[in-house]
Amino acid sequence: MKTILLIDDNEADQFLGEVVIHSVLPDVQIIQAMDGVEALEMLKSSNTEPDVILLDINMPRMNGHEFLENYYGGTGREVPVVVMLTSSDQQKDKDKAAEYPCVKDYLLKPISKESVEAIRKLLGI
Amino acid sequence: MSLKKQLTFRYAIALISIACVLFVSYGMIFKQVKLNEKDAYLINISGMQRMLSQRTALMALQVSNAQDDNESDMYAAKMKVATDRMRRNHEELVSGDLREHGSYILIPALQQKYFGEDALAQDIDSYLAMLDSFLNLYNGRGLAGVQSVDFAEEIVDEASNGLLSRLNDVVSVYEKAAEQKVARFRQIETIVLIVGLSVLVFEVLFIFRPMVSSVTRSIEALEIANAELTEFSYRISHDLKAPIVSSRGLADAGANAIEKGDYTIAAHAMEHIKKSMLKLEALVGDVLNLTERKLTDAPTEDVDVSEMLDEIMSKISNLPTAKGIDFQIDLDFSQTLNVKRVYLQQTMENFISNAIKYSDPDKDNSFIKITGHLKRGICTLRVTDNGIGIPEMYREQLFGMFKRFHPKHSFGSGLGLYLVKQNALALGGNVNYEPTDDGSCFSVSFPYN
Repeated sequence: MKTILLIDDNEADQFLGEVVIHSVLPDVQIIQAMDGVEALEMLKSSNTEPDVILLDINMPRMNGHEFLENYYGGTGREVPVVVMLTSSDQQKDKDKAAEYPCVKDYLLKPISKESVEAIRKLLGI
Repeated sequence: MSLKKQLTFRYAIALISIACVLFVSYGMIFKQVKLNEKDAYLINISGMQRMLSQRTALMALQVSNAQDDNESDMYAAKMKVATDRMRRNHEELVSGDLREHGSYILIPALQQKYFGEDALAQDIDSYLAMLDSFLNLYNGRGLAGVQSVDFAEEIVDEASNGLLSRLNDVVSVYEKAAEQKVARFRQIETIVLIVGLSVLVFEVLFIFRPMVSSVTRSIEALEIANAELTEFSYRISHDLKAPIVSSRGLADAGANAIEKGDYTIAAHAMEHIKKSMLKLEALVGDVLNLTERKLTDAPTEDVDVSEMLDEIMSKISNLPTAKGIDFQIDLDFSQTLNVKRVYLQQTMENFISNAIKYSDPDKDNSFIKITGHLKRGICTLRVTDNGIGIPEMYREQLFGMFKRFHPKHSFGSGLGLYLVKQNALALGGNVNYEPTDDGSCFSVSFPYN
């Protein structure tokens, strides 16, 4: 079963992400983290090995960019595909995300079925 | 005082100081040049006296030795001019009245020469009388008259032996006096230079350096304000947009769920839309408060802090999340404080509501203790709790904009503590955070009347 890690501090967006992803990909497992700090802790444990990470940018404690900085060089393992999922349409955020080869797409909120189709391709299903 | 007024004031002081030094220097140089002109004139006419004493004697000899009347007339006329000039010079030198060059005071050495034992003034008068007698003799009896006596030789003898060296001494005295004045002028020049340099050093230390510091501070404050504004506009555009975008997606998801008859998901979607809107409302409220703080100032009034805290507690302690928390208030003063009430009240409301929001649900004995004391004109109010605390790595950014450190426990705008900091600054005080063994302690300190 494919697994998606959804990193977002907004409960509403987490709920929406789960509903929309499951409406298109009902067999995909979704795990959630409230921010970069919690996501890093989850990824450090051997239990969590997501196929795709959906990553918000503006989050407390550790934002999306800081997460990428910590994660990309920190796990020592093969890094899964990261898709930015954010309401920020600012070029500086897009450019910053594009600096990381693991970032394969930049999607704008709210998550839609079209967005999930793009994620499906990255999951290879 | 505004920066513009400060700079203008400092520039004015700097320019006035330089202008004063320039005026004093100009005045001194002007006076010295006048003195030098007078000295030069004195040296000139005293030297001329020395020369005229010899020339008049020579002319007396030339008159006496002339071959014919024409020649003697010519020399007599010249001698008359020289004698008159010598008389005029003598009058100027001994009287102190230099006509177009003003007046001067004879220094003691000259007084001694002219009127002391040496009696030079008297001897010059005698010499001039001899010259007059010679010319009178010539004018009365002609060439034969002056040739009949040894008058010219007497004059030559008087000029060479009686006057020359003494007139020479007088010239030396005038030259020496002038040299002393030039030496004094050099001293004054050095003093003016030292005063000028001192004024420059004073200006550097007390005018320009503080001015540079003041401008640098202003620029740094502007840069910080600009960076804050940039961050604010970036974050505010995101935080205003995010709940709207979420609600749009949630509305679609809810509508789809209703179409499929899944009313549980639809209800959850509605609940999240409501939360998003509440969050947006809170954010807009905080932004309005912040804007109000920047644009307006609150009036000061007498505040009964105990009464104000009771008012806050009656509003906040009824919240469902406040149940089971032990509230304690302990103020060691009862007097009213003259402060900007609205800022103080908002600050304490924020501290107390944060203490409630971040109380530790795993603890049975949750408490919030509010204490206050006055010391040397400063009031300090503390809100201490045994809640979940603030992780050490986030403490530095605690009072920054859009800072949230407990995503699972709160959904605030992240502007609350930033607003508190602005309130404290508007009160003329500051805020502080201290971790405790089992929680947090936030405090606000401010001066009161």
